[in-house]
Amino acid sequence: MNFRWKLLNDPWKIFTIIAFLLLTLLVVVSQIWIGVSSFQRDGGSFTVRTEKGGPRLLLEEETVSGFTLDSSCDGKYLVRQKKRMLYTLNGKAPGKMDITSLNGESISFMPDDDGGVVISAGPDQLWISQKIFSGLFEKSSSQQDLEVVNAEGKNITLQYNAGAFLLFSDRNKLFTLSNYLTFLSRSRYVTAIKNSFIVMVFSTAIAAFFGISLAYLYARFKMPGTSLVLTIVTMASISPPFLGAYAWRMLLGGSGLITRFLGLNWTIVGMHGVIWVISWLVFPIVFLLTYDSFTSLDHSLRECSMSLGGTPRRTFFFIELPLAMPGIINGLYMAMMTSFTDFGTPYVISLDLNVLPVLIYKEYMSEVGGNLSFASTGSMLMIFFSSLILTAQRFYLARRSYASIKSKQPSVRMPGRIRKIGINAATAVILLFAFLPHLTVLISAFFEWNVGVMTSRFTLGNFASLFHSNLSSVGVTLFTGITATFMDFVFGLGIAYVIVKKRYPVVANALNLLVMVPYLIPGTVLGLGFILIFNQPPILLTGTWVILVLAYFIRKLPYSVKSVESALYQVHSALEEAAKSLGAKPARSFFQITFPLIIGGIISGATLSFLQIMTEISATIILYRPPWKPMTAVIFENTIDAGADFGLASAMTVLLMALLYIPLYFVTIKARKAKEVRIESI
Amino acid sequence: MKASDNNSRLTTSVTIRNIQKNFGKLEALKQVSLDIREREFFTLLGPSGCGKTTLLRSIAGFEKPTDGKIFFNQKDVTDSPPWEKNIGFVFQNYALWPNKTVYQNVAYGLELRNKSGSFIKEKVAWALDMVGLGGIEKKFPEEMSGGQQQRVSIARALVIDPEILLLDEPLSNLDAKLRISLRKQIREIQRSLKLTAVYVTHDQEEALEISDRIAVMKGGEVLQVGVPEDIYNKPADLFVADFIGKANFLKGEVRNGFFYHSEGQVLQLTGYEAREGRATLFARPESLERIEKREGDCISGSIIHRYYLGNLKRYLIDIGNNSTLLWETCANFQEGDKICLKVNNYELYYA
Amino acid sequence: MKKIIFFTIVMLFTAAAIFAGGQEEKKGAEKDASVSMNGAITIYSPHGPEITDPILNLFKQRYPDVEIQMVSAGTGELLSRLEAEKNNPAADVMWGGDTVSFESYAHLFAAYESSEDVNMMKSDPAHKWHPFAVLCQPILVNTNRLGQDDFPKTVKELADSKWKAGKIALADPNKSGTGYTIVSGLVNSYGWEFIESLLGNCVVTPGSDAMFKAVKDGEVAVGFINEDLGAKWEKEGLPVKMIYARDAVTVQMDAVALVNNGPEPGLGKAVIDFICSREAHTIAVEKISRRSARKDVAPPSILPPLGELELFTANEPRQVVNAKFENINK
Repeated sequence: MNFRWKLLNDPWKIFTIIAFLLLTLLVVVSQIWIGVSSFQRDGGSFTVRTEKGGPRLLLEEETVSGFTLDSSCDGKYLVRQKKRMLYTLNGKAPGKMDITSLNGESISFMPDDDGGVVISAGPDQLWISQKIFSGLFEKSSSQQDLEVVNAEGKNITLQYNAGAFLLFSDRNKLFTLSNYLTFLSRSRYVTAIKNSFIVMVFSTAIAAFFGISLAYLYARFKMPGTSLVLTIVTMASISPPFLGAYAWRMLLGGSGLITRFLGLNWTIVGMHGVIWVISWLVFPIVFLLTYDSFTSLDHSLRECSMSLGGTPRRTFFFIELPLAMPGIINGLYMAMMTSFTDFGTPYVISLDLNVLPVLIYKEYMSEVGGNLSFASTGSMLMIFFSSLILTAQRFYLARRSYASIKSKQPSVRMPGRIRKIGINAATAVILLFAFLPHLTVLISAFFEWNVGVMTSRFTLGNFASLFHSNLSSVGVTLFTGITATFMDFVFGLGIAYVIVKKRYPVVANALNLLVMVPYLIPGTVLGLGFILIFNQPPILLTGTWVILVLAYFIRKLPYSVKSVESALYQVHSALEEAAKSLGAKPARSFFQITFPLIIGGIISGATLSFLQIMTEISATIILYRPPWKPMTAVIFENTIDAGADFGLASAMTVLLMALLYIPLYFVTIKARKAKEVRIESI
Repeated sequence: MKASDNNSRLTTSVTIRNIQKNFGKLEALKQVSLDIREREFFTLLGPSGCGKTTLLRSIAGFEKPTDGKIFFNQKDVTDSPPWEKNIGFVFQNYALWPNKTVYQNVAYGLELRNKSGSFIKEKVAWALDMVGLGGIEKKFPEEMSGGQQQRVSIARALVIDPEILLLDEPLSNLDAKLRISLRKQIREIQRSLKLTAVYVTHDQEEALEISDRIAVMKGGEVLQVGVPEDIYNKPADLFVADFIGKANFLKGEVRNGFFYHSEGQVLQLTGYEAREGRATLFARPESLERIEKREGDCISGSIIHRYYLGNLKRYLIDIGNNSTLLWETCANFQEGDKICLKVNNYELYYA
Repeated sequence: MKKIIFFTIVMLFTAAAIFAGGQEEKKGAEKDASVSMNGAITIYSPHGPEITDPILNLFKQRYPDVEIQMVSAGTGELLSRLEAEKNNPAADVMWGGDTVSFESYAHLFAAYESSEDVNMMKSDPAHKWHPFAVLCQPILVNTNRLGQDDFPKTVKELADSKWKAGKIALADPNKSGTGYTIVSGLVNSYGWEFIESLLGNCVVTPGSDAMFKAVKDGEVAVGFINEDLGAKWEKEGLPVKMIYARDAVTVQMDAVALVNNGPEPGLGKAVIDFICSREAHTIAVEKISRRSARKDVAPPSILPPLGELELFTANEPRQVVNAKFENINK
């Protein structure tokens, strides 16, 4: 009875369970392999070089891991693993060696699929393969395959191509903490962690400086064109996928347009450039969330401070800034996360800057077989650091209660002439920086490209070929984008509500963390996890639009959740309790009371999700399969080669941006109008 | 049913049995039991953090008690959520919906009950009339003063004909004068509608003025339940005595029908046979009386401060030994005057 | 609210089930039909359309009933994707990437003895990969950063201290197949001590594209380049110049392979045969200036004949190169 009451009277519990299960499937189940492989490593491996004309074996010392090899004076190698004596390797003749087991067991063997041999002595197994090198034109006709020619008891004789490399490995997985120890003790990895933090702190600081100052000015002073500025910043919040960062390099690189024009011996390429470019990448989100926070402040609190003799400066730092903190903190948090996890900018704007996302990405996506354990260890550490930041943010917000029962529009002042000019000039410069990548792409779409270089010939051909061959992608992008946005809207709203207002023990916190995890995992890696669980019955989703929608949904959910969260923090729970006391059930009180009050946050959250989804690229390229090929996949495939022609990609980007900006324009204008009308009538 | 028909109104008694409410390790309510009678104006009084709001919210159903039972007219409602009860709840911060007009705010509860349009109109007008706010239906909450907002909030609670009206410090955000006039209005409404009302406040003066009965709470426990006079004159312990009104406490010893405070400061105890031993004597400032001549059984001291309260004056009197007394009287004295006092009404609390 | 959520979830799972069921059926039906030249084939390729389209267009003319589905991404991404999909592969053919990549992920590919293998300069003894193009990695210099007199003539002089302070870009062999080819090829000619002193002058980029672009954009003065791209850049008049060092030029092969257990092995083999055909290689030489790996197709005229070059191939397995490079690049 009691239990039934709980569930039936609180649809939020039902929702929480559904959301929790869905997120668990999409986040935990699909990504658990990262955690598992971070605690695993192969038993070990080593490589031995053999002689063409002699029996000698030559160990490649650097390749030894997990084993210890000692050479004895007669040219034998003694193989040990964790102090256990396993084998001796003894070169007998050119192309022939003996392997003797020392663990007391007799040796058996079998061939494996790739032309190698697996030998086992009791519990110990060793994979052996050979690698023969010959010149470009040498026909390798007389190759000796790897084979066991003689086996008796504890001894086998292995025959191989003389002069080949023999690769020995124990592929049995061990559970170990050693990946973490190694990761945190190698200077290359530690440097990557350090660099990631430097980039994060500095770019967030720069973005915060420009974002918060500008947001404050626009919230306090009645400036002509405020809504235009807001629209432009919102537009700038979506950077053109892939091409965005490269625009900076085209302009300010070592031989960039501006650098050469000014004759500078300078380049944006390097850590300073990475920080700078990321600052402008995250600036819009800081600005927008801060602006919303400042405008929804109760102005009487500010006036109260002024009346007590607080100077405008004191009032700003001691009253307004702290009160606007929930929005600012959310903005800074998103900025920190973006700058901490951004892969594209460091990759494009630096040659060799060692930061965690690049390190991990390249380890996962290595062309020559990367180290999965280290990549996963790195990912786990990133998730760990990010959850620290998340915890700090939660802690900060939870300690304070900001809910304000009023939602008075703050008084806006008329700026003086000089101030007005100043604000306008600052706006122009800031918007130029934030919008620079977009402009560059727009221009480059109208010029002919050749082997990865923009020519000076104007053309509409890029658009023509787009409409001729890739129009179906537009439909795919719109369909998957809108579906995923709808899911983000529904779940973002619900999850934020559960986190802020319901605060169920454990589950609410777990949801909060689950929502943020996909934000921390590189899209490509997330995509791989999706393939791992959705590529076989009962849920065969690979190659369908469903898998794209699910990936978009889960990856961009944080944007919806965070926006709605900030809005909810401003709505006192008494408002809903009042409705409940009058007889409204939870669902009803939510939809009739809270929902209309946070509609602004909901719309901006859904819009942010939509923008991010439509420009998602990294999970897309792992998950898409024709005919479900989104626009970003077309952009990517036309930019992957260093010699690719960016023309079509730029044109596609321009079309994509246009598709985003037109609804965005109407949504922001409408939403703000609605807000203004409401405020004025109050 | 006519909107203004009061006689058929339902009303309820509330029985609270051993309510325990824990927030993690914090015990907000410790085994609280109370009986609130039908049509009674019952006040939960106590300092902030004493659990009074938690108790009120438990009655409403916003909080689910960890243990214990709550009955409305003998019906167990411990597990009923607020929307299944017929309650009116008035919040400290008004909780008016900023996006709805006054009319929409007040009409909401009736709309939930699927009442007809004309009924709603009539009833909203009646409710606004009850709180003296006719003709502001179209205004938004932001356009009104705090007092008006709180009255709208009361109208919103009354309009659904609640069985019980629950008020959570409704006046604490208002200025002093408004507080006094609005609490009178609330009391009148409660009387005229014959409602059961549970009122939470930390303001003892407010509690004394409007309550039928008061429960004084501290640290999650009820210290005393009683009519205002008993609470004021016969406080159950020193905390209640101190919390309600102005009080004098004198430490001393009871011996042979006398209370010895210190050398030369002695009071004769009247009324009943007092137990002997160390005790604290409690007396209200107005129960002290001046005696013209020092006769041995009085407390003497000099006035160190005079407070002018209109027809009454309050004097702070230094009686030595780092002790002071408050005395209220109509008579006029100057600061520095020497004075002898005896006590008419008192309570003794033994250590 | 409940209804919306419920509806969404039901909708998603229904859709999923329909897709899942539909695909199962389709697969079963088509596997029996084996090599009739119709159906859909999925090709993974790190090449952009500018390279694949000329050849595939011809294939489409020849077999109009075969629908080609291209999935383009970087070599690393595609190999990771194949690895993740290996229990139920979606792709039939992987086209592009150098032979070391194919060998590193050999378990993902099926052996197939193409009739064209014998016409190649070299072929995989295990018949997993099939050569497509031969690519040299000459030195690339940025002419804005470097006067003609300062051009390096040999690879050996790049270890000279005058190039120090990061004037040279080198792709990390741990991350990039091209990087592996260059490093191992140079080890082949000068040994690891040379690489160690060369590294003192190098910026190690996490991919070969980054190395190419670093020279093109003038971020560094010198690097290495895949010659087809370098030739195109030169032709386009960019401030770059390819230098085939007289002491050593590294070389690798670009290949194509059949995916193990792909959905359409018959079509996959047909596509591989076509890509390896003389016809296709002729197009490759003409349209995309890549050297053919076939013995019977002449190299593009803008590239020097291989016979004139001092060629070095990789001569140590990637495990060895990775470990040794890691060891000196700290």
